[in-house]
Amino acid sequence: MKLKYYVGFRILMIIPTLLIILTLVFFIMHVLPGDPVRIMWGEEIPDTIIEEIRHNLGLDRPIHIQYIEYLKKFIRGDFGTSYRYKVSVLDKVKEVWPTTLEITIGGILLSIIMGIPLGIICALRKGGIIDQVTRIFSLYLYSNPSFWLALILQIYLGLTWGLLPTSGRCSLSYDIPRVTGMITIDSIMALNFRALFENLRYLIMPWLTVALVRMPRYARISRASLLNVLGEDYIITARAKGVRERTVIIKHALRNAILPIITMLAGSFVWLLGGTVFIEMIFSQPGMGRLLLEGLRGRDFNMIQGIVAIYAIIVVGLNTVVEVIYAVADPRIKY
Amino acid sequence: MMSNKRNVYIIVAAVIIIIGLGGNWYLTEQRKAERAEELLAEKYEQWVVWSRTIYIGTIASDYHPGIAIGRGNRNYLEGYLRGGKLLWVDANDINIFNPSLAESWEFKVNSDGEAYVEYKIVQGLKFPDGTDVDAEAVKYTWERERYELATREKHGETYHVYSMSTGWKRLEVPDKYTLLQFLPEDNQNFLPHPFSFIHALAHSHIVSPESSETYAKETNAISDFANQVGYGPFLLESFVVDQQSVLVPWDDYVTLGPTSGTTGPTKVTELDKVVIIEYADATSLRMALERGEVDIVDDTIADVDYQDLLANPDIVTDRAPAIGYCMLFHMNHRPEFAPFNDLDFRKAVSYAIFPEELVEKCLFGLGSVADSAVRTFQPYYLPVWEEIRSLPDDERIDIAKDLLAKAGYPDGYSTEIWIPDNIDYRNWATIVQAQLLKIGIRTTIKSFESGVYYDEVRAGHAPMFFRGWTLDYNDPDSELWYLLHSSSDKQAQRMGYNNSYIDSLLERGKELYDPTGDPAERQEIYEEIQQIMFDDTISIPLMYQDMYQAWNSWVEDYVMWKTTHTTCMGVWNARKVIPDNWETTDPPR
Repeated sequence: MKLKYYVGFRILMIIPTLLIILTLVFFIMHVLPGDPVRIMWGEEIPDTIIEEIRHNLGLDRPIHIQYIEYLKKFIRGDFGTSYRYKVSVLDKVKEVWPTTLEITIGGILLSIIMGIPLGIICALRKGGIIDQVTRIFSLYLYSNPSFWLALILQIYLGLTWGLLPTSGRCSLSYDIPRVTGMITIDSIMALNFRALFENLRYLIMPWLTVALVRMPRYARISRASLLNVLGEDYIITARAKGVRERTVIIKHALRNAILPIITMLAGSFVWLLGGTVFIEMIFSQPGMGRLLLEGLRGRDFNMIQGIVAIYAIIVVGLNTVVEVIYAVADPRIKY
Repeated sequence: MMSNKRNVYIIVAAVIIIIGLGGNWYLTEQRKAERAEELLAEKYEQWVVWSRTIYIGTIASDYHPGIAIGRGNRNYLEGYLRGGKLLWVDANDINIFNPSLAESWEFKVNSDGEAYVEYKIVQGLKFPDGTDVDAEAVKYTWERERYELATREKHGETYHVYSMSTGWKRLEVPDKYTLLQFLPEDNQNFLPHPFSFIHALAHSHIVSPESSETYAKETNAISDFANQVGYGPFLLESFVVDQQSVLVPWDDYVTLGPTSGTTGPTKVTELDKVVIIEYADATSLRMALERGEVDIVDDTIADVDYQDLLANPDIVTDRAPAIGYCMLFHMNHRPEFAPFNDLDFRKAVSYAIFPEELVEKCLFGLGSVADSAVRTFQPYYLPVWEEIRSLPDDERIDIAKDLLAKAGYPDGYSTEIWIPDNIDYRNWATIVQAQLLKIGIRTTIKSFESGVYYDEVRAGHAPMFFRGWTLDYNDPDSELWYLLHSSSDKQAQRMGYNNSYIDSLLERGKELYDPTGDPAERQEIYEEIQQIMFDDTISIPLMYQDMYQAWNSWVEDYVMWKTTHTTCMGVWNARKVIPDNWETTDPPR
């Protein structure tokens, strides 16, 4: 199959994948027992008002009609109105999405900065004390749930030693114009470095939590991948030709060892988007994860469906992109 | 040779760098010493700014700047700080309603036999938008709360429908500063209900009709609602939905009514800002308090955290006893749920349950055993359950077993306790499960997702379940009507309890209420109801929850409002004290 047909096929496959996901989510939410109107609006409200609200929200229509309406709106890019916030789901997601992105990107970058060099050192000093200690420490970190790590950081760095704020976002008194929604970038663009510094203080712990959870994986994968490459014939040849060791590692080995790490990055990004719920809750960061959790608690159907749809688009889209990149970059892959 | 030369260059470069760094440090220190006074003044200024801003921490909840939604404390607090009410319940005495926007009120009956309350509004006041505070504004506010469903539905507020519809049947304005509140048919002279609901527990504040029509309609964006104004000591300066609200004192506010600090809002002189910050969970809220990131936390702080704070010398704590929920344990009286419809069986359960353990392990001591469904400070409180709870534990267990045998279950019985998906309910159920097991009643705890739980329990399907009631008004009717009257879908119908005699007693009790002083018959009625409740073991009262609050010791003159569910509204008097060691420390925030 030619590459362009393969790419076209992969893109087309996004549609049925999304359709299946959206259908599953829609019906799961609607067949679950429990009245979302009652949950949202409370028990004291007279039944007549509850019925009126249910009618106004369209929840008294047959489920297949609600499903068709839902799909029609989705095609138009309308994810519905949040029962809880009373604004468009898309607008609400746009509002909070940068927070999650900020935590995710910052955390991944930090985990790369920490993990990959560590993995390289471990590979180059295989069996040495650094390698041994890293292995044990990585296993320990990997075994710990992210919310536990978050709490420990919060207690020690925030409360006991008073080095960082325990939770929250940068003080809104800095009044930084919203461009991207990520305060870090917006404050740089506004040249407000005081706000940038202040915001970084609030983000260090969430980033560190993400980094400590993901770093072991990067370290181990980097180590394994590099060790694999270092055993290849072309590396031996390069050494035999008298190429400096630094050049052998950086120019020849790392370039080939990096591919599995790129795949893992895409997967990490996707995992973190959904996995930041606890981090957002503990550090009071108003992001997508927290929005989804609040939506689940309150049976905010539209919000849940909207966020799941967005996650589905991102996951499917990213996976497709990665597969296409692989197909282009690696001629050994058959398609 | 080349190697030696390189080393020399490196050494020289290192020396230059070290000298440069050292010199820079020295010069910096010199400049600091010269600017010492200036720096000290800057630092003091930072402390002054800090001392004039109070940070209140609360748990994240639904938020809307103009309408109180659900149970969100941030909404309620904002409402109290931005808005006024006709009367304010006293901070310490739930029976006292202090004049505020209403300078006087009087209970009357007209020639048609309709009971009403006549309020005289303080004259000459204006809202921040310049319009008059008058009877029409009050009427507008209350009717809007009750009838403007579209706005409320859109913005999620419905609690006030309940408050207003049970508080009045119609409102009249005979002149600019007089409002007549005609009481509902089923509460013709029963003032506690409408008074408490509208003036104490309901959270609506009187708003300017003009600002509401302009900024607070269904078609307005959420940001517009911030421009809706009421008559309160604060104005809303800014807000972010999931994060915080910033309020600033309103310079033209006039303190109304008596001004002892516990009677109602006062003009703010010691503060420039109040910032209400949302935290996603109770532990973060507690840490923020201890770290000094917030000055005051409301009652959403977890009880286990509050217990730890008691030992912290830098934190001030206070409690309002029994003002929270009264939790009861119910059994379904319907025939299909036999043997719960057997008195001996229910009595056996009653003897077997030790609420002291629940108070100790679930409330962490922040509550007390409930010996009646009526609260200790409510009129006609009769501690009917004290009789069995004062018995030695072993004796109670023996009596329980005997009663179970008498009911026909000498070898025990198996049943279920239904709970919603909530950690508190699970804890209570676990303890009660262990207690019942001692007399041979084997229970399975069945947990439901909240929405499902509501539906199932409302439909009367639950065999055993917990159900509490928060304080609505300071009268035994508040607890007993919703618990026992056959019309109540809150508790009576859920447990299948239907007793016409009890209904008649409750109705008579309400009729007999006299704002000038109850007749003796009323006391007899409510004591009889409590006795029947015990004799028939209709439900088992377990515990009263306290409301509690904590704040940092540098906050002074702060009043915890112990008579409502929004405890931290007394911030208008508060001020913060700059610590003695300000020269060597930085403000916590």
